Amino acid sequence: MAVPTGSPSVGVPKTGAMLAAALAGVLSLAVIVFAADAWVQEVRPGLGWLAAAVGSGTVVAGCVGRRRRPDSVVGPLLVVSGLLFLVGRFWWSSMPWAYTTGVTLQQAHLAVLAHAGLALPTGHLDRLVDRAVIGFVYVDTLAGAGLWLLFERCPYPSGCPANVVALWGAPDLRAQLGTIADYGAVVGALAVLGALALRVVRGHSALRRALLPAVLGLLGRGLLYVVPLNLGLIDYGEWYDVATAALVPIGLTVGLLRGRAGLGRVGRFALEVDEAHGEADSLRVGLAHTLGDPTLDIVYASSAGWADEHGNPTIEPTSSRGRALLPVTDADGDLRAIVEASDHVLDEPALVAGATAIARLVLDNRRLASEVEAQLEDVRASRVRMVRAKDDERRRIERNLHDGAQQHLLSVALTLRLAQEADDGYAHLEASAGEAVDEIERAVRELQELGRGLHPTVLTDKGLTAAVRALTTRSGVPVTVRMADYGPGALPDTVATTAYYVIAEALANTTKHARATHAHVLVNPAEPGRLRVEALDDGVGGAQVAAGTGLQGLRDRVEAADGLLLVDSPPGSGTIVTAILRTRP
Amino acid sequence: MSPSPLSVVVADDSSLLRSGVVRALELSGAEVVGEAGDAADLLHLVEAIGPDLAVVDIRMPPTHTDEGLRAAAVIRDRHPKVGLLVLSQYLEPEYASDFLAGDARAKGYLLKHRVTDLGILAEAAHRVGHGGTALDPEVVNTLFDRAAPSSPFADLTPREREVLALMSEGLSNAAVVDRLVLSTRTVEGHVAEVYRKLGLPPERTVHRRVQAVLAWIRATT
Repeated sequence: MAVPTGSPSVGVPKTGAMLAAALAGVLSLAVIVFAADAWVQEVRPGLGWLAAAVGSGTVVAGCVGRRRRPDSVVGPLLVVSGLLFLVGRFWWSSMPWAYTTGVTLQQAHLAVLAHAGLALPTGHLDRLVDRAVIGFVYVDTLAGAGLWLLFERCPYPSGCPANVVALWGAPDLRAQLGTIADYGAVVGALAVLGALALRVVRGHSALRRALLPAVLGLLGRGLLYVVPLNLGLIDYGEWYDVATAALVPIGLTVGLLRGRAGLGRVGRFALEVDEAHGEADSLRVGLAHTLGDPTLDIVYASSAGWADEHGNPTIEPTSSRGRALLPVTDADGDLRAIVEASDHVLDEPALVAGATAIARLVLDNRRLASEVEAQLEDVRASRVRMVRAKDDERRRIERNLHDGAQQHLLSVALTLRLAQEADDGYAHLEASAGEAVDEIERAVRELQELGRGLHPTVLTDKGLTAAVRALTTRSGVPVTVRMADYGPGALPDTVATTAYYVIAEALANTTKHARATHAHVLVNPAEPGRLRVEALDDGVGGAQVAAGTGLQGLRDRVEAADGLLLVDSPPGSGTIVTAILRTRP
Repeated sequence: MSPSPLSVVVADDSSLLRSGVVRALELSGAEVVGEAGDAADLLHLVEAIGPDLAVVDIRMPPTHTDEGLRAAAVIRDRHPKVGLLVLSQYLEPEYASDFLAGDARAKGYLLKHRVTDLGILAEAAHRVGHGGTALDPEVVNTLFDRAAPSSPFADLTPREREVLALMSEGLSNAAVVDRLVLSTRTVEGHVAEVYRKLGLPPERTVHRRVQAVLAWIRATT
């Protein structure tokens, strides 16, 4: 089954990650080299290693984020920010081109981090205010860098490497515009924090879980470093700068990966469904819990239209502001259900894909189960029809035998007997007629036996007990019967007929195969709504319910009547045939 | 033979068999005054003629189950003086015992294939037509077969069983004497012994004796 989003794809991110790692390695090396020969007094070789670690770490975190959340661009933003951080540290270098590049991009990574923070967890800036804030931050960062590039040669009294791009030195202009840019940076930082706070306050629980670490990281960096530095409250310190810079990517990475916790809920949901053998008590509750949206609802497509989870008819959900409609299709692509939820759930496409995949499995399972049930019902019904048709046919043949052939034979016999009585001197004819009558009487008896075997008229007319007594009279083995007096209509027709055939078949087997000395027939009401029919003998046992045997036909008949047939016949230990029949539906 | 012949109505849906029965009855000296092909015709005839005896096939149209028995019940209800001889395809004594329940006077129950034994048919017809009782020996034997091994029936000697069977068929002591070719005294001795062993009160009339025997068999099987 194809899950459209959320499965870790391998190809592109891997190439990208290797490229990013290679770039980070080269840049880290450069930072370490530049730090070792820095013109900035405070920069020691150790700081180079620290900065390399922070930058590379951010790149690695971004790659991990990309791999675990391929649907989100937060990972790539982290990678970019880490690379920019490394490039920004080039300003320590004594080499003019490196210095110029570094100073220009000194703060650029912060703008990208702010972008990533406001875009958590998907990477999209959904709201206008967020886009405005990030736009402002990028513009302010670029403006600060541009001003410096154009108008500054070296702001430091102790001297620094030359700005290779500067057109002309204009320290006063640069200082005035630079102050504006600095205040802009403060405003940008506060705006980012404000926008983040707004998202935290207004967002749903899953978003808060993702945002909290990022907010803490940004807050740490902003309150500990950016704001006090730009307000002149603290002096610039390289170690402090680099160390606090690491807080933001750490927070973002943690936040990005925390969103993955939802997939754990998908896994638990899947386990619950599996333990319930492909069923969910309430698909709605399971989905709501998994997607973290208690307002979630589900409607099911049925042949009669749409129905809620209790089967009550309802209307097809329509899209509305702030709500998302998630279609659930079956294996054939037919729409089976629509999940309606807060559109926040769309922030977690992998979660949605996983949860709806489970919903699809549950619905497929239900559909298959109901199809199987329907087929089983068909089979049951057809078996009932077959047994009924057989009985009707037997009844018809029995009646034809009885009212047709037997009557005719008796008429012939009677006519012959009357001819015999005529006493008109044909002695040899009289003797022949007598023999013919005897033959006809034998034929009539055989037909009677045949008719009784075909259809027990006495069962219909006089009830089960009378019919069972008639069976025992004809049995070749003495039979003890223990049963109440079930007259005609005392039991449902099907039950009486089935019970009769169970006893008839069992006694016939006893007579024919068991070499028994005695048989017992017991008929008792069992648990409420059941009749227990037992036929036992003390014969040789070994009876089997195998294809083509009378017992197999009997089992078909009993099961068609929604009953149960048990045959216990160990060799040498007699036979017990038990049927449990349902007397109440 | 009585001064006026026994008047009989015969009901059977098979016309061939019916005419055979009619001839057999006429041979025995009875006068067949009407023939019916179903229960409704039978009721009309009995209503119109008021015969001594109705010979009724148990299975008649429309359902071919026990129309004859139901018609017999109606006749017994409306015309208690008409004797009823039922010809039955059913060996099961349940059919007979329902029919014979209550007053067994002028009732007979023969298996259908008995019609070819002209003697039994004629004897039963005349006995029932004159207020007696007749029960098919085969049905009686079936009742005996069902007796539980523990019942007092097991204590009867073979000769006593034979006597009991004939009593159940509806024979008087004199008829039993004829049938078994024994002395009257011996038969009376056997009858008394059967009564003693089964714990039955001695009955004088034959039909009450049949009824007592039937009741006893029903109670113990």
